[in-house]
Amino acid sequence: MVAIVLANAGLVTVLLINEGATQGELLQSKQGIFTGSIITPVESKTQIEQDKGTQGSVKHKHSSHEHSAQEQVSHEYFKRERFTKEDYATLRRHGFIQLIAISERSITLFCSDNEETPITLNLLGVDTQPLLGSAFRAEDKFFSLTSLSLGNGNKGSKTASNARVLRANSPDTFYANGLIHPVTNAKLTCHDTLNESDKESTSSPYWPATLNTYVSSLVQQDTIVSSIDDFYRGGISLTNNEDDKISDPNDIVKQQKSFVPLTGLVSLSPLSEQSLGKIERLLGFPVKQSISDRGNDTGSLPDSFRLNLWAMSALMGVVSLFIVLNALNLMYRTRLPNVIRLRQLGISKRVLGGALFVELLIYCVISIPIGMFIGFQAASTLSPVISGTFTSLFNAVFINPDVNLLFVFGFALVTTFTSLVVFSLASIAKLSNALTVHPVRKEKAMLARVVGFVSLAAVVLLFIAEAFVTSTASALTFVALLLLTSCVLVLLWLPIIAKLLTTFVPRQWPVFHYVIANMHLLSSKTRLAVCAFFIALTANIGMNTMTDSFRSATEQWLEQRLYAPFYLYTDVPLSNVESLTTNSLSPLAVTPLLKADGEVLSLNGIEETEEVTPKPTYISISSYPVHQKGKEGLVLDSVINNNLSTAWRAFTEGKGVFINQQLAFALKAELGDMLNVANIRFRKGISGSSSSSSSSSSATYPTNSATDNTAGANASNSSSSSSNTSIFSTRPEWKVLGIYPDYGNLNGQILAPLPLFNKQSVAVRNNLFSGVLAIYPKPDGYQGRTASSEVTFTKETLEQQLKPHLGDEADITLYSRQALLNISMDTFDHTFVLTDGLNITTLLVAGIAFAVSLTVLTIGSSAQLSVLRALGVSQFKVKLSLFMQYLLLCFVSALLAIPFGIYLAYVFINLVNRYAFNWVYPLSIEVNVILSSVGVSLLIVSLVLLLPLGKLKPKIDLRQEVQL
Amino acid sequence: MLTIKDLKKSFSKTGVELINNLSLTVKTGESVSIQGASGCGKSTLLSLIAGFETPDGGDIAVNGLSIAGYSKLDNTSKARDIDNFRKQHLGIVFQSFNLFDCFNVWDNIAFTARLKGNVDKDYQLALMDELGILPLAQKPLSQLSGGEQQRCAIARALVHRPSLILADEPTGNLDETTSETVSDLLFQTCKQANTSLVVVTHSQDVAIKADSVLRLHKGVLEDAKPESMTNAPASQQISADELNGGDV
Repeated sequence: MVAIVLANAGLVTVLLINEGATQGELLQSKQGIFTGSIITPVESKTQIEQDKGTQGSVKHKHSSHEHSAQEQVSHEYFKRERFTKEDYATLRRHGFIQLIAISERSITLFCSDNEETPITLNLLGVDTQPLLGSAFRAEDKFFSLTSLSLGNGNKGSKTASNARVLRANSPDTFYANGLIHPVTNAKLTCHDTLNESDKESTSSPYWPATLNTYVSSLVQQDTIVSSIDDFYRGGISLTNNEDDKISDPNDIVKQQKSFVPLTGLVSLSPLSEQSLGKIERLLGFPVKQSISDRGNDTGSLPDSFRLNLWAMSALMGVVSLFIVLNALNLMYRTRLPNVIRLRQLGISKRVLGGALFVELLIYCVISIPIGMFIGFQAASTLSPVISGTFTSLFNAVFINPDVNLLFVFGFALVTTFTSLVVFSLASIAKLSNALTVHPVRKEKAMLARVVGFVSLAAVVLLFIAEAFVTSTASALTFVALLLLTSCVLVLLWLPIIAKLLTTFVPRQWPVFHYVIANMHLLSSKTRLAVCAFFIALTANIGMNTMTDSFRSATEQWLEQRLYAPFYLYTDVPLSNVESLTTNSLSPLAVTPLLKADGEVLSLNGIEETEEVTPKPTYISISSYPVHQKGKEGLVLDSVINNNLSTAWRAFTEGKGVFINQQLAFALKAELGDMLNVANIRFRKGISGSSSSSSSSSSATYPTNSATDNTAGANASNSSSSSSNTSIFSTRPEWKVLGIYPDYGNLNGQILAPLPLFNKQSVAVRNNLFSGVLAIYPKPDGYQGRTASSEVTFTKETLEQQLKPHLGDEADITLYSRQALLNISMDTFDHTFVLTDGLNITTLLVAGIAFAVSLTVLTIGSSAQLSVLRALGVSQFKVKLSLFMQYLLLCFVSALLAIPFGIYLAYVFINLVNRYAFNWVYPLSIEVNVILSSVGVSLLIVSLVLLLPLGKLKPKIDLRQEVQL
Repeated sequence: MLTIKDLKKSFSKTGVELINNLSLTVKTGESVSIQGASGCGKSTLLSLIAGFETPDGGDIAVNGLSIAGYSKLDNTSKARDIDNFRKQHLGIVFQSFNLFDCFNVWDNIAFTARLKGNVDKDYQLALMDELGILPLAQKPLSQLSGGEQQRCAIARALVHRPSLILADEPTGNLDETTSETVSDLLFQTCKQANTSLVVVTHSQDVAIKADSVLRLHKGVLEDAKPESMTNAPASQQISADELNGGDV
């Protein structure tokens, strides 16, 4: 029963962790109340809008009056950066009742102990009055938007399980209610203080409120939503701009009455062009509408990681199945003597089978809720650790999952019952033989040969099946097939190996000889537990080898690819940065990374023959330097004619490009193929491309008002037909010269020579600039230079030189090559911490279940142990012999798991990764990785075995019968 | 040689005395069979001799080595010394054979000799030949009959040349014919090996093959001639009720 409880606990734990990750990701992609559109003055820059620009694409519909009106109203910029209360009232009076006023500013949250870095959130005041009676009232079960305006906050106390209290660091506070997104709530650890006492150094105006925040998926991330009434309470300044701060409180009140700034008006459904025009006429200045368009957003949780979680759940399911089967089998074995007696007394096998089934069913039904409870506890204990891991994964967030208990119970029930039904079918067949005298089994000389033949056939079949893998689903099916086949082979080989070992053990060690010989017998009695342990260990070895191979490949790739000693990340326009080499960095050169987006329509100019229009493959085009350093940094999987020098020359001359594995796999492109690349445009989020929505491009991207609109528009005006001429000075030939690995990137990418990108237009180059620059010794002098030239430019000295040229206000981050490598590898390691955790959990559950079944077997073999004691074997030696027996069984299973684990790693890399993510990498077999997996598994089994063995005291009884 | 002096043992729970000042001497190569009613303490007596249980009083010595003296030692030393004593000096034949199912016949028999570190293949071959199980040497136990298994058990008990063999109902699980053969072999081989033998049995046919036949009654051993045993009055039988327990 313990084993069934454990199996269910493990299953529920892994299920909950998986669900937490998935729900966290889903919540991230939710839009809440902002699923419609936001109307703002043209000149405004709302936080919500910027958030949308970074998280997903937002379509902008500018009114027809926009450009013409822009100049006219430019003198009113500050006044018309915000709507006013009067504007809002005017619009509602004229029938725009679907508009809801919002106002926003930044607030900073601190930890009371100041140990964590402060977090700045967007405080959003929403006019909740129009929402009364709307759908929002019913959408949130715990606390709705409409409730925000219903009375004051409840004195800063937690009244609901979801509440988080954010206290102002001031005695003169008022209480207010607020809503916070679950993901944001998860990000806040100890941040519970609106500590803005040092007003000189913070940009946030002081807001002396104590907020009772409630978790709601309706609100934006990194945002706290409050009632607009509360938003303006407490004497806050009118805008976030320090220059506009009004120090006199009387002035604030005065201005609040006459000029209440609103940052935007939310519309629950997008407005038509006519409506926008009407609004502009009513208000007298241009407005713009931002429409949410996040349908294609795939979230931030890496797909590989999500697949890992899915695989872990499936693995845990299979392991649980075997554990429960084994537990039921052991229960049956212990009852078998009584079953035989009852059969001898004339009770039919149907009645006995029914009774046995009911008994086992009762055990299962009792075990499932207990297992679920333990699983919930385990998941909740682990959640802070997991949450931390997820936060380190860029934007991925783990939340305590909101799961349907019935669903979890049903899942555990189905797994357990499947085992029960499978077992019952087998046991009823066994019952019919319960009275039959088994014929004496003769040694089968052919057995080993038969097993050998079956094994060979199974391996050949596996190799054949491997050839039929053509998709992610079939790859995963193949993984399941591989695990089950390996399990069958282990069951066949384990007794043979154990028997073989018996012949090698010196007879001078009788107790050890007994251990090995008995292990041979034990292997047939514990086959199901062995299977569970074996699958868990094989998966462990497979996943660890895969992760290690991935790590080695990534590290090696990064080490070669990061060819420069320093990398600069900046938001400064490229034109400013490029002048650096002529000014302060004369011994050094800078190479910018330019990027553009595009589509591959076809391969070798052959359009798809299907009537359906072929789906273009979206790609990114990155610049790559053509100097020697760049050549050395280029990592290629394969190169045309197997000659890097020729390929490199062709690349530098613009006669071809390099493509990444992902693109090669997606297009089934081969070396020498010609790509039909079209619709080359600036990347997502780069200005100027908005007007390209009228072109053939299917995608439109948000405007970043910080960049040069005019230049961008100029560049992209020609994007439809001749965009290449603006982005490239000389259009490269799209011939595939080489295929390079590009780990972690899910999309296709093309490397084009840097000199071919546009050199003339400053605006175009600024728009192409990705914000990343490589800084390294000048290529010309590089060959003759020693490392000392790099030493001269330490990170600090370089930063000191850069700052004055780029301006103190510029956002620049300088990384040394090693620092960038470390950051990348740290991120990598963080990503797989959780996988390791889940892996060990599965191994632990399998190990414990294995030990539990062995303990039950120990009780059954107590008579034999008594005989050993009677013949003069000491208590310690008896215990040691048992311990050795079980450990050896695990060890042999582990030995068999190694080849299958390596094969599994190969399948993960070359089939699952290949079809799921379009990348492969070399399989790296590290002995220490495999040994650590085996070591951990044996350690787990050893530890869990020590407890029952410690308590074991075989009693010597002359009348004790040893069952043969 | 086995010497028992004033041995005492009682049930710890009820205080009923099973063995009461029992004394016995079995010379080297001599065989003794002990009979008695069920629950009279025959198996307990064997357990005390084998060191499985600790006596309340008195002494047991095998070849001058006092088992009772071990009880004065600390637990670890006592356990180690008693284990060693059994390994070196004792051979045990169980009613239910208690062979190891993971071994074949040869390895089962050789086990005690290997434990003692005293492997003599020729002696084992001779012993197995004498017991008629040599052709079964490489067979697994599952292919052996009850009689064959008990003969294996006898060989196992003798192969390491112990000073004393304790046999608890060695023919209890066998039919009459097999029982006759097995008991004959047991007594013969012990005699040839010059090993002392103490047999606890209900079977008169087996008992009379021993040099001495004793009867355990009210905690002491009495000389029991086969004639007197058959004519023994019912009042002399020890009832289970009297002992407040079953056979131990």
